[in-house]
Amino acid sequence: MKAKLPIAILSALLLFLPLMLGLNDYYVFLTTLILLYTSIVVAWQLIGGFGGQLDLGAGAYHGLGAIITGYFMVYHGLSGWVGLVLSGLAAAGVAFIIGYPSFRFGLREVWYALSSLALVLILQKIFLLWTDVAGPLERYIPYMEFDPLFMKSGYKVFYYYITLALLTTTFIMVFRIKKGKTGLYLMSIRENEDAAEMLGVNVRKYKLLALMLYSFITAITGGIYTSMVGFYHPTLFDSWISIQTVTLAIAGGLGHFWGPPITSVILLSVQEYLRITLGAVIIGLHQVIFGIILIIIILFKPDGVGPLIDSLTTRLVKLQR
Amino acid sequence: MNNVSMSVNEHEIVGLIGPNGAGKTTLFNVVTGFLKPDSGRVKLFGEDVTGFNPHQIAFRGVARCFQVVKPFLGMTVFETVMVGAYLRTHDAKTAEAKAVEAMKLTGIYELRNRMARELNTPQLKLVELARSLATEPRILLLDEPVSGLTPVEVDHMISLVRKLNKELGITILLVEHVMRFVMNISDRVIVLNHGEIISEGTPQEVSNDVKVIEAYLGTRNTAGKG
Repeated sequence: MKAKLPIAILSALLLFLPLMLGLNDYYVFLTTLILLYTSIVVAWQLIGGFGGQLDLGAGAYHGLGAIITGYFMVYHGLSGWVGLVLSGLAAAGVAFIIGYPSFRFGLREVWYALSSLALVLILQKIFLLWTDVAGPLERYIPYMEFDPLFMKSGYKVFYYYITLALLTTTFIMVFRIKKGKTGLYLMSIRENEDAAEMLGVNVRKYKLLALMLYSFITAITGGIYTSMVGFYHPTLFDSWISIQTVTLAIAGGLGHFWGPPITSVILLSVQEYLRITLGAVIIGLHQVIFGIILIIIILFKPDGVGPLIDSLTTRLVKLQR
Repeated sequence: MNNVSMSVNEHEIVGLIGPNGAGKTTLFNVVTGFLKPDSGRVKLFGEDVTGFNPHQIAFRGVARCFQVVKPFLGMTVFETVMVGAYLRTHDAKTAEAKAVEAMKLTGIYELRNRMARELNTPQLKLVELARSLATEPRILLLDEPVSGLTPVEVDHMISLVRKLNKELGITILLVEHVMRFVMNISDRVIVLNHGEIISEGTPQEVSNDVKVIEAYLGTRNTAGKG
């Protein structure tokens, strides 16, 4: 396999990255954030890239994960690991409750996109008012030097490896789904729902399956985030996460396998760099520049970065011969 | 549609004709579950399937090619046919064998690695037929399979549909305006007009039926430019 060498280099790089950063908590924190958001982009491939549903609910599932995991850690002293599983299940449950009627009554395209975005805002309001669980004040998770069983650590590198494990698992799962029956069925739904249905594809069932898997993983990213930053608040229901996820996935190439993760790692790094260097100069300038970069990609590469990577790798393979 | 009562026997080729708007495609939509009938039943091999979803109908052995092709533009021909081939199996190897067989039968095996968006309409019609065959149907509904094809391509389609019927024993119900195709291939022809059956019989009988000629050309007094 030709892909083995680059994958080995990439894995080694990701494994030793915290050491290369000198275990500096701040840099490790930033790289963890980048990998965390990349996990969402990879998981979004299921519903958006393959299934073709423009889901803008990432912020909702991310927020649910953050609040549920945080709530059980703060009020019930429950381990964060248990919190992650619970929040994943809860998010998948919410996804089912939202997805079932949406797909049953044929909510498609922009209408589906808007209703999923509404979920973010509705959940934020609910948890702002639900003071027993969240409310308008930040809730803090007790600080611990290092307690792996409780999933709380003062060293950010702990979260880096949890996130890396999540990203790897998600990546492998999405890869296997893409290669199998489910991936093919989802793509046929994206291309033409009626034709897929006539070939025996249970359109509703496969959309729901994709939505639930994606929301499960997105909730886990929220749980990890909360434990890492040490608090939770309803503003974690953040529509920016939804929009960031979708734009990165589209810029990377819808349904393309390597495009979205590579693009999101690079662009999120650029965004963080801009935020650090320019964010304080003129507030919001980094987002303007980030937006311009995205516009340029969409203008010149409407299919995303993915096909570019394909042609580059085939050229490299030819050169080797 | 009003009181259309028709049945198709196994291993038969039935042609369904009628002027535009006669209700032919609507009938297909009802049979395949895309539309629910206000009244009346749809029965398949003795089982009542009224109100079933299209994917359930497909699983019971009905395949359909659409009037306007509905290709999977962003997928290769092979992937497209694989979607159909996965209906009765979860195993990739088994599905692949079925897909290859269906592509060879329809003569598109050479196109297997091409993207659907690179193909022309006649080729897409064959891809649609191949992906339908990969579901291993007992009955195949063809909605205008030869519209827009050249005479040579029509001949190819005639022999292909005959082969499916004779060798694989697939029952065929087809809608077509190209009379050369319908009259050549059908065992029985049903004529629809304004959602009602106005004639039924062998191709000969139907083409000599006064009511059919009236439906297409109008009565003698009102016949215009034809």
